[in-house]
Amino acid sequence: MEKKNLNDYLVNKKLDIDQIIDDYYGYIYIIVKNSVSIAITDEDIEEIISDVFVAIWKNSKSLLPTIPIKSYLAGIAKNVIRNKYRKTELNYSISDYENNLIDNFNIDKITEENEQEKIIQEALRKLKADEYEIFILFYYESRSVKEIAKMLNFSISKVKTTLHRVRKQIKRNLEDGGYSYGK
Amino acid sequence: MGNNILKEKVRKNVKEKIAVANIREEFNMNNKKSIYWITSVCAVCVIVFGIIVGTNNFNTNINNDLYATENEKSPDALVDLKINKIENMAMKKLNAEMKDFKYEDLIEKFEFINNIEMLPKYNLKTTYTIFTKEDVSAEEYNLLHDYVLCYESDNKSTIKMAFSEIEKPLRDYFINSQNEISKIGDVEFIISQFEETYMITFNINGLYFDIEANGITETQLITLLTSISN
Repeated sequence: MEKKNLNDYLVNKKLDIDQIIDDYYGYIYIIVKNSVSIAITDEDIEEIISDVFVAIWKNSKSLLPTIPIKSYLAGIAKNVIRNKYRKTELNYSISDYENNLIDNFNIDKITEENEQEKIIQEALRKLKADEYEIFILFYYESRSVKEIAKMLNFSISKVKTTLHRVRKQIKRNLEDGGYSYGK
Repeated sequence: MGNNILKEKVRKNVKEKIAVANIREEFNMNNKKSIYWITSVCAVCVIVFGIIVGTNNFNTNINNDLYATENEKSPDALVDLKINKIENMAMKKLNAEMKDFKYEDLIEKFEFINNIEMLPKYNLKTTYTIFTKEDVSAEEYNLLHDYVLCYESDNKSTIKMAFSEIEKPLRDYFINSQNEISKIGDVEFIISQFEETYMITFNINGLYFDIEANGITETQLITLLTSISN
């Protein structure tokens, strides 16, 4: 049976974003390709589609579990494209999705979040491969230090030290960028 | 670029962005994380230092004398009272600000207050709200944490009822008890007793209550809790 609602993708109250990507990547790809009249690079497509899936992950806690996921994703895609190509005329016609669109954008907040996340991503670019992997396992997959150590055949102390070093580096970059954080 | 390659790049990108969002949240840059530097309540932010109440130091040497009273004190067959008796307690530092709040505004917002059957000879003495800081960096006490109603009897016994919409009301003391649960009807209460004072916590319809009642009997306690929970 085709999965239709957000609820179908909740596993232990967490959104199964991998499965959503598997099921809707092609659909979003076509929307993006058909919506932009200008030449669009693969990098831009990648960024837009990524942002669409990240947006549903970010909003998932505030969405009704019964929300139709396909039209919601299309609505997000429209917003992401509009934000990216605000000054460019688009040839998309997905007004059918308007009624299903939940637009919670707060420009100032989003801008600040984007800046902070860009800084963090820049910090990640400087990590070694194993440091990056530990970071993703911990902060994306929510694995425990013990699990990560077992998976990567590292000592627990190495994982802890690596996470500490990564956090410290990110905080330093954020402070250099003018942001502070709770202590 | 092949579509599958692009898809996998998207997947990697999404993972990274979610991880980044999670660590950003951990750093407490965006979400308002409620760290309550709890404080004591006075006209303006007052500090209460820790004292030990009772004859012993505050440590694990606490005699929690638990006893149950089932259907003895009330004719109501649905009452199951389990009182966690404690012999020691300790005060703690709080960091909060008290602000006046009119009773009229309170009953307008919370209709249940009208239905409370306060014990005879107890009169409403004061109402106020307690504000805390939403986070450590906040300059002002901007988070409305508790609403408090204080009643006093002719012989100076007191009942302080605090309730909160967000979590358990603030306390400026520690107690250690077994947290055995009492029931009146379908509502569950945790009742502790220190000397002549009952401390009761419970949750009804999303409101968190914390009541301190001094100098009342168990029967009066049941009457009071019943009127609030009905």
